[in-house]
Amino acid sequence: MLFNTPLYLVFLVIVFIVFYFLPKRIDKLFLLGASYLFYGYWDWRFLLLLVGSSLMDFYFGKLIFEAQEKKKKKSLLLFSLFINLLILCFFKYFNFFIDSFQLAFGHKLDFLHIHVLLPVGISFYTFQSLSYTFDIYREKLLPTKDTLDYCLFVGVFPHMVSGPIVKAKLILPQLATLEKPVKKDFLTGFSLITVGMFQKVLIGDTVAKYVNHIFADPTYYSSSELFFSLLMFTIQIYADFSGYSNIARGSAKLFGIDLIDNFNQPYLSANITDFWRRWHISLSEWLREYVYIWWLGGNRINKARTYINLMLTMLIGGFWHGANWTFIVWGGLHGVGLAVHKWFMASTKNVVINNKLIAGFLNLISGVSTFFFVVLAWLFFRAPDFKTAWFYLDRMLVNRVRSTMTKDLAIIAVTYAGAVLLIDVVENKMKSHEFLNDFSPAIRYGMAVPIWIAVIWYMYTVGIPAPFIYFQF
Amino acid sequence: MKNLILFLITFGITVLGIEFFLNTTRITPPTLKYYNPVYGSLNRPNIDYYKAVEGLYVGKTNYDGRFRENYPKRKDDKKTLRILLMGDSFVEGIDVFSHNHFARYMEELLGQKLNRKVEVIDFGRGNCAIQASSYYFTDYISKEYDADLVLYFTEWRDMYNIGGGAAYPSTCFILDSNNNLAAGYLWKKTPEYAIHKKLTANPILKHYESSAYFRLLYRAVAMTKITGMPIMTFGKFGGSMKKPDYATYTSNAPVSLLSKKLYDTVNSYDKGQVIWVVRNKPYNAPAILEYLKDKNFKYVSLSDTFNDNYIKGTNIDAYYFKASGQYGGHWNNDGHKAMGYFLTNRIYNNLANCNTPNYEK
Repeated sequence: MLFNTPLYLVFLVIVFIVFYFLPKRIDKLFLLGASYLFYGYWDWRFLLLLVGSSLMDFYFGKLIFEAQEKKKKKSLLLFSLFINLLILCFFKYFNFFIDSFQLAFGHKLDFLHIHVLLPVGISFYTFQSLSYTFDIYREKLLPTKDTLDYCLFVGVFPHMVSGPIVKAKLILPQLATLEKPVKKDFLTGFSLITVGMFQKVLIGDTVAKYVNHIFADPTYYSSSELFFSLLMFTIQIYADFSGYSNIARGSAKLFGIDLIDNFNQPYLSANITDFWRRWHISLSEWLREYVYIWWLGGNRINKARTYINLMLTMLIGGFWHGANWTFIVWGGLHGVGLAVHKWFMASTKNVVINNKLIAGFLNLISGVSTFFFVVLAWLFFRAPDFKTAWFYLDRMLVNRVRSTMTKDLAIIAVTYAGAVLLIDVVENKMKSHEFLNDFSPAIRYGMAVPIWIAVIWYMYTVGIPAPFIYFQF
Repeated sequence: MKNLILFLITFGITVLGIEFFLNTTRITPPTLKYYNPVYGSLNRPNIDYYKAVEGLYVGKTNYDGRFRENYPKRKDDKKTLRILLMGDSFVEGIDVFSHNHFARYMEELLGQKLNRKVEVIDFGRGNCAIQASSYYFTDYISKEYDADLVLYFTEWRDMYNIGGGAAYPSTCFILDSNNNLAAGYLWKKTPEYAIHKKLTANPILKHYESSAYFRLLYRAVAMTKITGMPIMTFGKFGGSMKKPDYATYTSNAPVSLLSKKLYDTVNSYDKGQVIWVVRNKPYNAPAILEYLKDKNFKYVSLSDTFNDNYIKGTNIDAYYFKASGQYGGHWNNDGHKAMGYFLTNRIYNNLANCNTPNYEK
């Protein structure tokens, strides 16, 4: 079931009402049932995988906690990690490994390809589940005794398929003391869902049409058309994912659950390090805590290792997104960006600029160059293969082709960018994603009603709704 | 009271903002059709337009409501070769950018081969069979525009006497009681026209088409009808879009009396040469080819360039749109390119034999 369909709205309203009136404990059971219905709507067979994966980590958590020896704890953790990654690799990366092996060694191994659909959200719920066993092993979390709470932590519908990737230590305590939502929760939820729907349905889904067509057939488009399609993808992926996250957070809030912010005006970042503090925050924090710091050692070993660790973390982050070398290159580009920025900051830490004008100008240059670096990196993220990415680069920068359509596409792209920027600026000013909630009811509903009318009418104009980009990850 | 006023002001400002957003991003482009009292449904002139169903079109209509550049109605000198394109949505080519339309390839390639200016003016119009297009051609285009060549696209639908019915909301040629051609205005009896008349008669709703919100609602209702989905079922429960059957078939129907008269009338155009371009998708129409051959009319068959869905001699599918996954409706970018090359070569090789009195060969 997709968030951007009227069916989801009907589903959400029904689940909310029933949940609200059910007695305690039964309401959680109902919420879990509704979540499994939500997930099984795509393919009920993958529900077995979700339930199996949840129960396995629940029991591994218990075993790790109960084990007396450090060595046994470690063995259990590694076994749990192995099983989780095995499942993930089988469904998501198996064909990629086969193809890469073929490419490297020239052996024909097509017959080994498996033809199964990627279970929706597998990367997200696997990482969530792993955070539970990791934190128990690191003695930062006590295992829950409640199977229902654990299954809800992994599988509650708002965040199950595309995040935010919630850590067990943040959600399990909430679930253990889950109260009925109050008016403030409802208003916050409503506010987040309204903004999220605007972002996803009216910006993300509509700008996608321009992007998809031009990326599908780039040889037929001019340099400026390719540039604007890339700029529009930059807008699309933000509106799509940030919209999804807002709907997810808003939906969870209706049940009294707080999910973490996933975005914080990332395109207004001052530099690339700042960008990764603002973009897909839940994944960045997961990678930072468990991969960069815990596994690789962060910056505690030596300078060279710090840069290598940054690079490795971003390569893993890129690979997490999808089984394609283009994602790895995307991660690698960001890894290089982060390493260079870290080195630059270390090299210039003694430089003080007292002139405010110059400092402001340098900040502006830094912000703009960060934005265009991010845009350039998105090319590898979006392009289906390197051939397309190189073609884009070549036509945009070297062998340029002129077009009469530049003005039309520029106006369209700038309008989309303006809409995204407007939301970011308001969020920034109000210091909140649920800014609608901060207005008086007259203003709040004066804004929300026209948005909902446009959103719902638009939903009806599309025969098949556009899935979220991150559903495939 | 204060809250109500505040609500209404915020509501109004938000509506205006969203109207601006929907209009500028072309999510709901202006309504393309309007009703001309003489010709029925025509395209609006000078509007920004966008369509992304199969492929992608972003552009404008010209002063005559067509999707290409503005051309003067009279050509500048005898050395300029001017070609008019007549036909339906294939010729309109609203699934590709203007610079990827086969008319642009023809202008460039033929211009290079002839070493002179070539103008290819596209008068294709979606869902417009020969009964409607030939009326517009004989009554308006052939009188107003100079043309050395007219490439008139025709296909299996044109064989039938469809009676100028509701499917073609434009003035059509029909047969009168003496089997002579006459103008038919059946579009005035269509439900769409009745709604349009009703709305435009209402002083408040008169400008309904100017509102992006209204157009969004209109499309929502229309889409619900097209997909056959009841208003409250969606997505998976509503059923996916039915996959059309795009196989190529052969229609063995004969050419109707009306259609014969239409071919004869159009072909009698005397300012230049009419060349019939016979499409082979989704149906081959051998009866049309036979009729044109019997009458000694000039024609080309697209079976010579397209083999089923593919560009002849290649494995390039001319009908598949990768981004939308739509298949078989119209030509994609590759298809237009192939058409441009094919028609350029055909015209270049046969231009000497064409009747083009206003073109200096």
